[in-house]
Amino acid sequence: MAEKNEIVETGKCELLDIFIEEEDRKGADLLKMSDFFNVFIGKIGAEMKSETEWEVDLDIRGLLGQIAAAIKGGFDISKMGMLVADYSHFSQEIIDGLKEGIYHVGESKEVTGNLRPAILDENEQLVKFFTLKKAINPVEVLSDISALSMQNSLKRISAQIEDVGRDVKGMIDFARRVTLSNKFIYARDKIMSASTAGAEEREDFLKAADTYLMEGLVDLYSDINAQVKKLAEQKGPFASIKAIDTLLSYINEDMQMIPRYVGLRVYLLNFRGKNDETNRILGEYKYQLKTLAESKIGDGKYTALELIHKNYPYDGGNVDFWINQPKEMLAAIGSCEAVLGQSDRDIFYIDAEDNVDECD
Amino acid sequence: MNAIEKERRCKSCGKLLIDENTFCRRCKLKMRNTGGKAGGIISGLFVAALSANSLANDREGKSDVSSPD
Repeated sequence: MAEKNEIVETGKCELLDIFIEEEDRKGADLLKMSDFFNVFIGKIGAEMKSETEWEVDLDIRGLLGQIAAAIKGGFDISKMGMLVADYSHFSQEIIDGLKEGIYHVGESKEVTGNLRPAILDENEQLVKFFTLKKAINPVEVLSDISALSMQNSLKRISAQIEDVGRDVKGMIDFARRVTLSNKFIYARDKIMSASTAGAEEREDFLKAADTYLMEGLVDLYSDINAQVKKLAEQKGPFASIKAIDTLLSYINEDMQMIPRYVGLRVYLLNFRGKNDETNRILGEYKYQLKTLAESKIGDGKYTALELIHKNYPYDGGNVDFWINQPKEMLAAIGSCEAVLGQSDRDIFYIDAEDNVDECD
Repeated sequence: MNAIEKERRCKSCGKLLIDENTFCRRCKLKMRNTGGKAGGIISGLFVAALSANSLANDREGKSDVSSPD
């Protein structure tokens, strides 16, 4: 039998307490700070759970495939509606296990003897319980769901780029990194001021923060294009590997910083209720990635990503990353844009936070 | 990226080749760098050997001049 929850109001300003670690609050190097995605996902999830009416204890038997797809990808859109997973509480091990077929979605007995939706291993042993919830008013929760799916996608993109970035042993130019982090630092200052300000003043601070983030993104998009052009100039059989690696490490740094800027910008716009803007920001990011993947540069023979791929020193598991992965990134961003167009669909949320009877 | 020939991979690092044959650009540059270094060492040794030889010849010439017997 389905049950309903009660709506609890949360303090709006709590959502702006996103700089938790000391480096996040005082540091000057963005790449040394937290990636913030878990903070964003946790805050959006908490607000969504407390301010939305959900129908719980649903029968999952007809939805096993869709639930597994949503946990693997963060969200899944199908005929029956849209499923979004509480990504922050599903570990990478669970996601990989589902992808590889080691784990599957099913039901397991709680200590009390009731059957509950769960992730199970090959021997039908419990890995993790979860709860499937259905939004009673889907339109109300749509913007949060879309923000959540955007942050999930950006988090994945950021982690993948960070991972492949370890393969390049280029020179680290701290002054360059600090320059590119500056606009983020200015925005951080405004956000911290906004978290303690009154409603009107808060909006002004957040507008200023958005302007800094926009400027920072423009700088990063320009820088990445400039670095790729320099890479295209490294021609001939006697090109310096050291110079190539330095350029590749700069490109990597830019690519790591961009999702962080985009993530914070999208989070703040969602906080301010400007959902159309969030889609535009994501569209700009998609356009930049698409340009790197499709436009020929230099002498017109290769795209930027092909050039990066030709010169990249892959290490084992990451081979062909710059050829294959951006396609997936573009698909993930495209799906995020599609989420906002789902206003007439049912919305399901796969919540993995409550694990009272869990035995893993 | 339709120029990529899907089945061809670098014989050294396994990277998908775009328009290269056998080795990718990165591996070719690495090989040339290594080859260049080895060539430098060999030519350095050759020059050192030549210098040592000419020095020895010089000394021999000088000792011939200093002993008139």
